[in-house]
Amino acid sequence: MNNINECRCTTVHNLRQHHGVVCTTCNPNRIEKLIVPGTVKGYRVWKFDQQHGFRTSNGRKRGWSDFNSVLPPGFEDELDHMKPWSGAATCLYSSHKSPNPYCSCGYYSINIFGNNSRQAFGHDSSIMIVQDIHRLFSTIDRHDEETTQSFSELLFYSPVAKTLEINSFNLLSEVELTGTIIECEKGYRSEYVTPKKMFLLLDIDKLYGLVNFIGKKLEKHEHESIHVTYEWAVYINNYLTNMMKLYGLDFELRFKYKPDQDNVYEMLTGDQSKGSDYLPFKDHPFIYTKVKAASEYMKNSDKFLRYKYPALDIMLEKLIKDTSSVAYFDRNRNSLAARHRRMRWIGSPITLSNYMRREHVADFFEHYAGYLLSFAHFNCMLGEQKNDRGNLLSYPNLTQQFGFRYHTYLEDRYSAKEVIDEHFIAKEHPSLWFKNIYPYFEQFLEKMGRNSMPSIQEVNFDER
Amino acid sequence: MEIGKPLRVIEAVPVPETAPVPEPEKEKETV
Repeated sequence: MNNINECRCTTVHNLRQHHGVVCTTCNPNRIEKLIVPGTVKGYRVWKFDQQHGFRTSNGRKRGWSDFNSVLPPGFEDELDHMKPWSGAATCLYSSHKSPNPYCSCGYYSINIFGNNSRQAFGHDSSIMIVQDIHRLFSTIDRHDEETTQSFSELLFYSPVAKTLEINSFNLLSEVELTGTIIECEKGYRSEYVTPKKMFLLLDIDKLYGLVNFIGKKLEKHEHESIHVTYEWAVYINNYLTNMMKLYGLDFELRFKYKPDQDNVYEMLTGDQSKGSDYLPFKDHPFIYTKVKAASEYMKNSDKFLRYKYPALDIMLEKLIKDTSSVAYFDRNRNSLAARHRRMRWIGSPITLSNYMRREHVADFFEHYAGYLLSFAHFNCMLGEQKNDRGNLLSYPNLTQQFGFRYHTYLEDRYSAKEVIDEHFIAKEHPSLWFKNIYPYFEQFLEKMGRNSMPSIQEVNFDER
Repeated sequence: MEIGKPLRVIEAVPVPETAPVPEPEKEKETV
């Protein structure tokens, strides 16, 4: 049963129909809502990045928590500014209640799981991930041979470095829609949206293609590329599983599966996530059997060949000798080079993709290594759900997991006395580098009574 | 995100899966 008249003015309103906007010419009267008991299930993508989480750095929704420390009367639910789905939808252009049938506002979701029509909202993230990392090589390749090789080695072996270079993950979520909903041909606009589970859909062939591309530059065997790809998948899975715990959500990494015989798997069923082309990582008929076996074989042989991992201190020594950087010619205080150097302070995140050839690559690397180690440290904390260790050296040796050696690099920087002290906070501490997401992690620990960092004194503006 | 033409406007009201069943009053022991 429909309560909207079909729009016949296709020439004028064709564009509007993408967003399910009701035409006022064909629907001049007020639309009475149909009451449906229950909720509606949809699927949508949320952008997630390592610095801000789900929160977009610009144009975010302001909640009561921006102005008050105590929940004001009239607010039924607690709005969480790190969760873009909390609270009712609002319209950016007008003061009407969202979603309005005649406007394009509301939370969008679609009714197909694993839809890959458009890249920006596509459900499969592998193309975006591959592009993010592939793009780096246009900059890296312009350097001296040794520099190129060191960066390629770091990117090849280290899942930490690869994951850090991903601009944002397209996390697909199964959502429950409530309140007013404009039901459309392919999806919905709704008043409330509640994610039930998060997915990351990937294609192993594309990831392997990328790793093999780097591997070929370094003349690595294909088996090694398979192993590295698998390790990367495990790292992404652990990182996002632990991260989603902060938001109280389950996470599942899924890989596309193309069986040889089409009749082996069943077609889409009611619960689309169960019958889709994407199968869970931990239950995958190809990756969790053959790829895992190949990877474990390589891992066992790695135990004897640990020296092959790139070491940060040796890398730095090589980079100092690099002569390919175009830098230092302009000594003007306001030159781009000088401005760039001034921008580098501890805690300003920098990845290989932000590197501009206006400073020496060794200067850049010291800053980059700080961020890289901080990210690795943060993931250790997320895994343990503890933040009691202030520096990476107080953990057991994690070289194999990180894919690079870091002990000598850190030992050169800190004295033995500092290293022994578990509570010594190093310059690579995540609280200095992840200023948006780390406090949220502390809040999460606080709720569980496991936060061991001294909390910053809260300023209560109401008391003045 | 392309969601196509609008079909209908609905109000989804979540319903608890099982309605709460009132506990039966304990019968007073008669002496």
